[in-house]
Amino acid sequence: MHNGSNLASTYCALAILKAVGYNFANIDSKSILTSMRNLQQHDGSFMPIHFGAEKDLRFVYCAAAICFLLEDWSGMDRERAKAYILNCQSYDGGFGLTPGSESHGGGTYCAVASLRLMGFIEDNVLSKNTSSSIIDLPLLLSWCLQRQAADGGFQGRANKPSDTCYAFWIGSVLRMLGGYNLIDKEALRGFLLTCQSQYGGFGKCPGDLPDLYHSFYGYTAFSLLEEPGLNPLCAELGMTEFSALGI
Amino acid sequence: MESDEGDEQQQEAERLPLSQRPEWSDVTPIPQDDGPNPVVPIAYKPEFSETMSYFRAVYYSDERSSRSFQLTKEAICLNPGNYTVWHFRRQIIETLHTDLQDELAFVGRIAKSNSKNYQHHRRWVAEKLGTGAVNKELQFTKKMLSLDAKNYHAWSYRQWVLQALGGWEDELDYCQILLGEDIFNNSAWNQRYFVVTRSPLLGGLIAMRDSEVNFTIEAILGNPENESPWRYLRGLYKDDTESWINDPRISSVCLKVLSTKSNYVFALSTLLDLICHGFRPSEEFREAINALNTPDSGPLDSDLGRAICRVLECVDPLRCNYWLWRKSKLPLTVSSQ
Repeated sequence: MHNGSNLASTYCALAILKAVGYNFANIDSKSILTSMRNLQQHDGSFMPIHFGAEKDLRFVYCAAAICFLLEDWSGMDRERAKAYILNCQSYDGGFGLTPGSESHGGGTYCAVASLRLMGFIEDNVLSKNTSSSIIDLPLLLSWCLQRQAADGGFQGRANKPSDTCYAFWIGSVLRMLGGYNLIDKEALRGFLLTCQSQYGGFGKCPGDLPDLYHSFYGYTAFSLLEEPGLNPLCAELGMTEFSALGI
Repeated sequence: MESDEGDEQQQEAERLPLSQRPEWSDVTPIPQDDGPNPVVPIAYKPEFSETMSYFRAVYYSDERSSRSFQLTKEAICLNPGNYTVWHFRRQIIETLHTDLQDELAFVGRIAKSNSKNYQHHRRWVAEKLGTGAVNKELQFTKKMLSLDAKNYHAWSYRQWVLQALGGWEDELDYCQILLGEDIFNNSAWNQRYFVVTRSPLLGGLIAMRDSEVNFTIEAILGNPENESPWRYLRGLYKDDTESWINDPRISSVCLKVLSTKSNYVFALSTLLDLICHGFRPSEEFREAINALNTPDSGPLDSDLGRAICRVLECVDPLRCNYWLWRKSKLPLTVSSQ
């Protein structure tokens, strides 16, 4: 098999097609979903490719996003995936990329977004009075909010420097849970503007040269901040609401 | 067959194009097929394009030879992120039975300059070598962590080694050393939790809890503004809130920090959490909070939980909205301490 599929590439391809308004009826969903089922491991995690690779939350997210975009959950065992995700919640409330690893902004995003896409976390769960939740919600909330550092930016892990992209990874988690209004928006905005390059785009830290990755997440972060002139964001998919809804 | 150790840089400087190497004269390179209308074509350097074109030729014909093996090394050095090349290299290793220790050394050199892409390959080699590879792999990750004590991939690989191959004996000591170097290293705290909860040599969380609580409290008192030990302390009582609120050391460390009147934000939030879970604070807690004299309006709330929230709104203004929200969620109690 010389050109085997890659889960991350498949997710990117479908997300791009969705963003440009491609008609999904033309996509061979069946093959994608069948291939995907074979990538899920016994513990619920996913490998990105068939001939062996890392398996962690990033690929669980890719799988969930693909199923969501194709509107077909036959590509994965949701219960097993959920079990794996729950095993990734660290003692401090955030999620690591694998069970036992340090809680991390990207891992936490993949965990919460996957659970949301799969339908395991209801809308605005923080405003509901239900004390039962499959994850430790109060601890997660506390961890997320503590990621906003004195400079106003968000860090990916405790005691690490702020980085533009975590304004999206962590900001999105808060948005998905219904807690985005608990952050200090002005402070975040101030930090992000210091990461905006004189050439346009965003870098990782204040004064850095811009790159595509941090520019994308800089913009999505401003979308979450409801910056005038930017379209509203679908946090679970990392694209505009318009794209996600196929408008 | 395999070139000398560490000559990758030399190779780069003296590179002879593949088209000029006699041992490759029988091979027709296969250019990359970007389709008829590439949208964002990458401006590859000529040596990169050429290497990959020859790679495609041997990959598609599944030629598992020593020249292919050498070629995968060149391709990896140009782009260690290409997992297809790594995969084919593994297939060649299986066919030719090349030296696995040399392979670990090779991956080690790649890892130094590219701290991400080596993991799966290294894992595959280590698994083939089995438990004999433990010391080398722990040494390898230790080296990576000496360059960056928070390298996520190194930690994740180290955790895999411990769980798959063993070697737990010195891990708690290693965490201790790292925390001695930097008590703020959250990765080291996380690893400590990993060892304490999963090491087959230590007896599990509950058996270790007492000594761990003592260690953590020392760390807190040394730097109360450090988030990591506070989270760790809570983690020691995961799924056992009852024991957590009943351990006098927990509330005691909050009180101690409050009494210093500096760096007390985590002490306050921990106390708030204790109260929310049923802890009944004695009068000295109220006195300690009164003594803070925060620039807050008016007399403190009769409800200690509400009082704490109001102080936090003041002293942790970044999370002001959160503390207001926490205050709104407090159970309405008539009784006050």
